[in-house]
Formats: sequence, C-alpha cells, structure tokens
Amino acid sequence: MTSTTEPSSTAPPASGTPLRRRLPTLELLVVALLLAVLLRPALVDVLDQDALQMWSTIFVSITFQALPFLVLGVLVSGAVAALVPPAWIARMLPAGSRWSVPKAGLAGAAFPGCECGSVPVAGRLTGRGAPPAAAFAFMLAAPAINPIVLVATAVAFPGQPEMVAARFGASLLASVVAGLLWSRLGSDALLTRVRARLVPGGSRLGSLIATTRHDLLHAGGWLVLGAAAAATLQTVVPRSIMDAVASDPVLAVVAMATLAILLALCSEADAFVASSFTQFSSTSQLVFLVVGPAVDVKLVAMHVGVFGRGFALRFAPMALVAALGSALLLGWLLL
Amino acid sequence: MSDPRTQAALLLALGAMAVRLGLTDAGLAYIRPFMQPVLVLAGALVLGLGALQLWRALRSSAQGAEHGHGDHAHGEAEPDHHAHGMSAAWLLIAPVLALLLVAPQPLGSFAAEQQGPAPLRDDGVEVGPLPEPEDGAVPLDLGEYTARALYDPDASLEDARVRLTGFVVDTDDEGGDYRLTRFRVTCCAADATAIGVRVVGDAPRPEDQWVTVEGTWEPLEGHELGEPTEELPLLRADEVVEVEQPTPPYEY
Repeated sequence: MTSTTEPSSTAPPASGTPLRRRLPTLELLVVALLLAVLLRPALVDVLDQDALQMWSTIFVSITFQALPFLVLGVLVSGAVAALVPPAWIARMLPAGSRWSVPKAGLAGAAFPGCECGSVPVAGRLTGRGAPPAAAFAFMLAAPAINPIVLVATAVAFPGQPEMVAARFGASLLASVVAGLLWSRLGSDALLTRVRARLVPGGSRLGSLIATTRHDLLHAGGWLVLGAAAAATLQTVVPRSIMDAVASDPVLAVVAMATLAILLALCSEADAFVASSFTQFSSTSQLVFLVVGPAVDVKLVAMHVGVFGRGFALRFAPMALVAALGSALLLGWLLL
Repeated sequence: MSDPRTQAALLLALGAMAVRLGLTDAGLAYIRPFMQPVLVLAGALVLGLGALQLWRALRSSAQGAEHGHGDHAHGEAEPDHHAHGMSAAWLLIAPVLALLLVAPQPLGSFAAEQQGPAPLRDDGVEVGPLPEPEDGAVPLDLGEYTARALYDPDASLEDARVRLTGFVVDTDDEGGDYRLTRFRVTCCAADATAIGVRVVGDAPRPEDQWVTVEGTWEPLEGHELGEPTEELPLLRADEVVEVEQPTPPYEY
C-alpha cells in the first residue's frame, strides 16, 4: 500500500511472505475474459472461419446440453458423500461372500455420480475393508447404470427404450464380470495406494457443498475436454470416412470402443455424443456407452492416482474385455 | 486451480453463461427449447456455488488480514484437498471463451457439406393426409416433405402447393439448382442431421441465405415411392422469398 521504495536488502524474501508464489490464477482468468470481449471485433474475420464456427457450435452444445445432468449428478453425489457413511456400505458388503460382487454392482444403480466420483468412493470402500472385487464392481456399475445416466440415455435416444435397457444390462454384467475377473486373476497386493481419505468440510452441509463444488469443477473440466475432442472429430473427419468405418460392423465396434476410451466423456453426457454418431449401428453405440464409463484415458489416470499403477495396468484390460463382451452380448440380444 | 477465488470466478462465469443461453434465443443454436428452463436452473445452481465460494474466500481473506498474515489473500486460501487433480477445471473457461469470442452460429452450409448430400432415410412413420394449406400453400418442414416426397406410397404431395423454409447449400453440378437445407436436432446440435431438398427452377442464390420456397413436388425419375434412394427429393420453385433465419433454426 505505502510507496516505500526502500530496498529489501536486509530482509530475505522468505521471512515476510511465503516463498512459494502461486500463479495469479484469478488475475489470468479476468484478463482472459476481458481480452475475449475487447478483442472480438478485431478478430472477427479470423474467427469467422467455417470450420471454427462449426467446431464451436458443437463444442458449446455438448457442454451446455450436458451441464444440467452434470450439476444434478454432482449435487446428489455430494449428498451421498456427505450423508451416507461409507462404513454403512462396507457393512452391507461382507468380505468372502460370493454375493458381495453382484450386490455391489446393483448398489451402483443407487449412486448417481459420474465415474470421476465413483473412483474415490471405491478407493474409500476398499480402504475401509470392503472386498476390492466388490468395490470395483460398484465403481464400474455406478457411473453407468444410475438413474440420472439412464434418464440422460433415454433423452438422447428418443423412441429407443431398448437402448436404456441394453445399457443397464450390459454395464451391470460388465461390472460383475470385471469384479469376478479381478477376484480370480487380480492381486489385491497391487492396491498400493489405497488409504481412507477424509471427507473435506466440517459440517454435513459444508461437506456436501465442498464435494459438490469439487466434483463439478473436476468432472466439468474433463467433460469440456471430451466435448472438444468430439467436436474436433466431427469437424475434421469427413463423414465419408466415418460412413466407411460405420458400414463395417466389426470396424464400427472397434472404432466406437476406441472413441469411448479416447474421448473420456462423463457418463452423464456420453449418451448425447453416442447418439450423434447417427451412422453407426446401435450395437456399436452401445459399445461406446458401456466401455466409456468402465475404462477411458482419464479413468486410467484416476486409477493410477487412487489405487496405484500396478493395479491400473492389470485392471484396465479386464474392464475393457468385460465391457466389450457384455455390450456385444446385450446388443445381440436386445438391439 | 486451488485458489478459491479463481474457482468462484470460474463457476460464476459458467453459471452466468448457462443462464444466458437458457433465457435467450441464442441458446437455441445449441440446445432444444425444452432444455432451456433446465439449463437456467442448472446455471442458477452453479452461480450459487460460485457466489458461496466467493463469499467464503472473501471472508477468509478479511480474517487473514485482521490477523496480520500479509496483505495477499493467497496465503489464506483454504487449500483444496484434491488440488493435484484439479487442473482440468481450467478447461471450464473454454466454452465461455468460445461463446464470447466466436459466438458460434447455428450449423450452416459448411456442416451440411461435411455430412454429404444423402437424403433423410425412411423412418417408417406413417405420414397421413396432407395438412390444410395456409395462405395458398401447405407449410411443411423439410423432414416431413422428404418423408412424403420419397417414402409416402399414397403420393400425398401430388397437385399440392407447399411452402418450405431452409438455407441454401450449393450443389456440385451445373445450373441454378441448390440444396434447400435445414438441420434436424434430436438432442443438441452435436447430433444434428442435415435434411436437404433439391430446388429446381430458381436462380442461383448465395450460400447460407435463408429462403422460403413455394412450389410443387416433382417425382424423381425412376424412383418408386417408398424405396430407398440416394437422390434428394425435388421441389419445383414457383415463388422464392429471402427471409431472416427462423427461430429456432433447427427442426426437431
């Protein structure tokens, strides 16, 4: 405040202020917004390119179409994290019971979060003594078969209720199969990083708000990334190539599974993206919906963060095989 | 992304944009009308979360100043428990910037050309008898016109004068023909499908110009009604008026 020009020769900088200076993030944000508003007239010709316009339209529309579903999801996941003690869930899933895995998978239907939320919850569950295989079944099922995601799927595929049924069945099956695969082929010793994390925030309301805000910022950021990737694909890749890929049933399934892994969409939004690939077969769209919430680039990153790298390397292929197999089976049966 | 004030600003900007898109016609370039109230509600919740966060950050920085811990709020910022994973949150500013900078228009001729000139496929829905004409012509959207022009075994368009509205997309071949086009949106603009009708008998017009065309149906040569085809349905133009972009810009 005071304009003292006294050279700070005597005091080393560490004594007065904390040494670790943070990025002035707020200032950067404000500057970016101001520049956007002020420079728009000057940039109008540059920004009026057809491809950029189309990219932006699709990018913005995916983001804001998904936003209400994301907000609802993180609100309820915040409420669950704040109000339902994980110990209670752990009591419901006794170790050594053969029914724990399917029970945990089904319990996922009652946990309305997206996959970003279910990974830490699964980490907490294993940390508190729930059998890991059951926790993983929950982790895979919750983002795929909860009511919000199913409603979003129904909205995205109007007049195709069988798509909702197939998604529910295939994702539940995939989560149980992956859980059982883990209990056979996995090794709980790989879970190097599991530790019980405390829920932030003091009061229950404070915890709810903190979890909601965190999940919104975190999952929202990944959603934006996915929307950008999807918009880029739609703008850059000509439909003729997509049509060629889509017209081959095997290639279509492989392409949609790859897309699901690379786009890394939130499960609340992925149905809208899947339905936008209008020229792909229903079964390959189902593959997209079942693979995405089970294994994608951001989930693998989160698995490394929560459970450890050894786990992620061993679990991702199991989840992929289970998801692909279940989607193809249910697609063959229902679609 | 662990500075709570930045988080608050991010949430406020995103929430405000959501509310704006939910309340104005500009939002109809991206989402369907029935989603607009839902988006307003979601935006209000995001605004609320941001305002709460801002209030807490300001309060804690005021307390920090009272205790004499430096003059910068950064030092007092409550550390985020998951700060390591929060860098993705920055991306939330991207859609806001895209809207401010690019202000993307509804999908137009570029996106239509990207999709190619294939006609709408037969969705198998019975179209029934033609509606009554208004002001001397039957107003139809391009989706219904296609269904009647290509797939209606009763040929309900015969001898009828119809009125269609869409924007102009050039065809590759000679003559003044153009593709009258409008996008059909199922969910949001990301799933939009271009519906095209080939207009014959009009002068060439600039691409992306919105026009209302009155005219009569012309059957495709060698096409049996109800059979799949790769050709666009035809409309012989009788009267063409250049119009403003309609609201909403899409068919549903």
